[in-house]
Parts: sequence; C-alpha cells; structure tokens
Amino acid sequence: MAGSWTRWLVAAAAVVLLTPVAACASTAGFYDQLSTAAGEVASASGSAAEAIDLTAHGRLTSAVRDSAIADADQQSSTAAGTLDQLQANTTDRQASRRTTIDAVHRAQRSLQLADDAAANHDDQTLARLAPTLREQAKQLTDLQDEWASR
Amino acid sequence: MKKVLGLALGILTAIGGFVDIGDLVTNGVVGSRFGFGLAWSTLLGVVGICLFANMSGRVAAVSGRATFELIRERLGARVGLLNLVASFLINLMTLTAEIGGVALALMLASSVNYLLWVPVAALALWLVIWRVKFTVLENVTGLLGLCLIVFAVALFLLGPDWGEVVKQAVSPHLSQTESPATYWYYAVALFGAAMTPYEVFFFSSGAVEEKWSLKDLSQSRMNVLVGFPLGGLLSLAIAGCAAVFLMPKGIEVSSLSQLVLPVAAAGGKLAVAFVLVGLFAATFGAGLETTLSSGYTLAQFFGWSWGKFRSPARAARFHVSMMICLLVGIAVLMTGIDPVMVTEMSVVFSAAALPLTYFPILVVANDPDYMGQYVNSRLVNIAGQIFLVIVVAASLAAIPLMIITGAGK
Repeated sequence: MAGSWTRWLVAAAAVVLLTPVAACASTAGFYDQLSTAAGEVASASGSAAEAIDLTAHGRLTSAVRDSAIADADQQSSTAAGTLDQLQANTTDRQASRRTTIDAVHRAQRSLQLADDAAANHDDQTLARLAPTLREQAKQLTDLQDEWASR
Repeated sequence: MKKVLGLALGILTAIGGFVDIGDLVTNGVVGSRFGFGLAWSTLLGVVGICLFANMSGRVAAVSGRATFELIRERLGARVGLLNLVASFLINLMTLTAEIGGVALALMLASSVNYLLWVPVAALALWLVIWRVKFTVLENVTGLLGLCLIVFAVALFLLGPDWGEVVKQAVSPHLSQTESPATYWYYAVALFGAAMTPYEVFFFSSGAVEEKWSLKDLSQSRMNVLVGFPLGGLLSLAIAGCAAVFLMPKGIEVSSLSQLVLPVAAAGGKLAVAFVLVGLFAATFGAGLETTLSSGYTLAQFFGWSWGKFRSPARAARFHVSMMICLLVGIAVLMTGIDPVMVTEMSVVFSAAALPLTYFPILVVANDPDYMGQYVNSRLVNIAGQIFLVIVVAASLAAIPLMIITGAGK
C-alpha cells in the first residue's frame, strides 16, 4: 500500500515539475509566435517610453524608470531571441516576415541604447530615444495585429 | 473602546494583508490584457476565501486547534499527507515568489539588481520570524500594506469612463490578439490568486497563536467578512489602473515596474513612494505568512511542537523547517528564474490544488465532535458545496489551460 502512495507522490511531483516545461514548450503556430514576439517588444518599448516621459515630467523617480527600462530591455531580448531561433528553423524568407523581424531587432537595439543611457544617467539620450521607442511600439503593435488576423 | 480599536485594527490588517505578489502580478496582467473583463473572477475568489477562511477561523476558535492538525486527525494520515504534499509544494512556490517580490520592490526603490536583494530579503524574513512577536509582525505589515490603497486613489484620478468600466465587466470583449483559452486561463489564475491555500492555513494557525476562543468569533468574522472584501477591492483597483492606463497604450504587464506607471501618471512621486512602501509591505508580509505556513503545515502534520508563542528552542524543528524553506527559495531565485513567472506558475498550481485544501476544511467544520453546536449552518454548507464544485472545475481546468496557452502567452 505504501508503494502505491509513493507512486502517486512521484506522479504528482512529476506533474508539478513537468507542467511548466510542457507549457513553455507547447509551440503555437509560426504566425502566432510572430504576433506574440511583436506584441511583447511593442509592450516593452511602450513601457520604456512611458517611464522616460513620466520621469521627464517629474512624476516618476529615476530608480523606477531605470528598472522599467532594464525590464523592457530584458523582455525584448528574450522575445527577439525566440524569434531568431524560429527564423533559423525555417527556410521560408518571406518579405513580410523579414519586416517584422527587422522591426523587432530595431526596437531591441533602441531599448539596449536606452538601458545603457539609463545606467549612465544620460537623461538627454533618453529624452531623444523616447519618441523613437513610442513610434517603434506603434509599428510593432500594427504588425502584431496583422499577424494575429492571419 | 479597546474592543472597537482591536476590531478596527483587525479589519485594517486584513485589508492590507490581503494582497500578495500573486494578486499584484495577476491583476496587473489581467487588467492590461482584458480590461475589467475578468472582474467577476476576482469577486468569485473573494467570496470563496471569505467563506472558507471564516470556516477555518471558527474551527480554530472553537476547538483551539489549527485546521491542518484537525484534518490529519479527522481524515487520517493518508489524506493528510496528500493535503500536506500539495499545500506544502505550492506554499514553497508562493514563498519563492514572495521573496522575489520583496527583492523586486527593493530594486524599484534602489536600482540595485534584484538578485542582490534576494538573500537580504530572505535574511530579513528569517530575522523577523525569529525575533518579532506574532501580533507585531502581522499588524505592522498589514497596516503598511494599506499604502496600496494608492491604486484605488490613482484609479479615480485617472478618471475612467465608469459606464464603460461596467460594460466591460458585465460583457467582456476579447481583443484580436487574445483567445478564449487565455481568457479562461487567467480567470482560473485570478481565482487561484484570491483563494491561495496558505491564507487559510495562516489564518487558522494565527488564531491559535493569538489564543482565540469563542468570545473572539465575532472579531474573526468581521476581519474576514469586512477586511477581505475590501482587500478584494484593492485587487480590482490594481487591475483597473492597468486597464485604464496601460491597456490603451498596448502595454502588457510583465514586471512590477510596469504596475507603478499608472500610479505615477495619476499621482506623481508621492503616490509612487506610497506604492513602493505598499509593494514592499505586501510582499514582505506575505513572505512572512508563507514562511510560517510552511512551518505550520509540516509541524501540524508530523505533530512537532510549533508556534511563535513558544521560544525557538522549544519549537526547534518548526523553526529549522522554515529556515530550510527560505534557503530553498533563495536557491531557486538565484538560478535567475523570473520571479514574475514563478508567481504566475504558483497561482495556477494553487488553483489546481484547491480541492485538497478546501474539501477537508468543509468536513472538519461539519464535525460535531470538534465543533459542537458551532458546526456549519445549512446555508453555509450549501454555499460551501457550490464552491467546491467551482473549485474542482477550476482545478481540473488549470493545468490543461496552462499547457494549451503556453502559460497565457
């Protein structure tokens, strides 16, 4: 009897350990993944731009702004990395996909610059980057919607 | 007068202590993705936690013993062990998320990377548990947690169209980028966040720590029935701020820093200061509760001496088990795993394990050997059984929805 309980416990532990892995590994379609990555980077760019603007208007502390930019940089790097892996695994090089991937990389670069500027307390560079980030967020949101509708 | 003050303090700490990292993250994510479309799930979870926390508080006040201890005695070692394994693992995951939450809150205030704050946060939790009296740690963190009311203030300052808010809450509309599966995944997650198992274990063990008796029943009832729903309103305000400010800008919450943006936009730096104190207090308070709950569940199952009312030397295994849990939490976070992801996982697993926590409570609360004339009324039993059906449905759906949606992506 004790053996059967042990089996149940091992099974429960396996479910607990394997579910997150299965959840992360469950792959959506290619279009869905493009849409998700574009959405994540759009969200990251938008929140970084918002944090820069709120700080410039004296409504947010620079410590929170810097954290928000670092989080956004991290989020965009992860999304861009997933996208690169996806692109490497497909032989298809359609122009529309290329446009999305390029837009993601441009936004990622802007966020990296913003993260560096925040680390150096370079408010001028941040102020210059905010409109760019906002524009890139808008473009990526449009691309996200476009892929989601396919 | 003293009694009124005690009642007010109990209610205020129940409000301030209601929100934890799971509520913060899940409500933020849901607000930024679904607007007010999942407010019903939070409300449902609040009704459920009120029902069962009230039941377990009554069990503790009447019998003078904690719920978990009675579950093991009443339902036997096997059911007790199943309950222990599920509750303990989820509690450990929640504790890890709370330590991460404290570290993230400190990072927001200082710009120092959260990984450097993780050991500091865990050490502070251990020191407080080791040295500070139960009532002091409960009241101070609960009262400081009230700073999160700034989310409700911010929501009013942001000036949403209340007609639209009601419309979204009553007839949810999914955007092009969301699927019904993600909607239901987050409905289950919100429900799990509101009904996290550690809350009832902490509540009933806390009642024993504070030596509640029959004369404290009315205070226990007021704490739960007034404090928890007001705490639930705080959760709705967090989701509301994200819905009103972040959702129209296409910003989806994936970090604590994003939760602060609506408050900053509405109330400036003073409001930000309040929210940072509130975030720290909420996560630190929940960190204390989950650490203690880990010790409570283990000690009550194995029959060890437990409780903060005893000196650590007289409850050595209870204290050592909590130290080990804190070390496990540090080790998990030091792998670099995202604390927000741990939080999301913990609320979904909480939902999956809910029946194992709540069914035994219903059984014990109906046993006249323990409860005498204070067994559940017919109305409470009907409500309890309806909730058990909902809890089982959420439990069965939680893990398949997590896999189908890739954890809500």
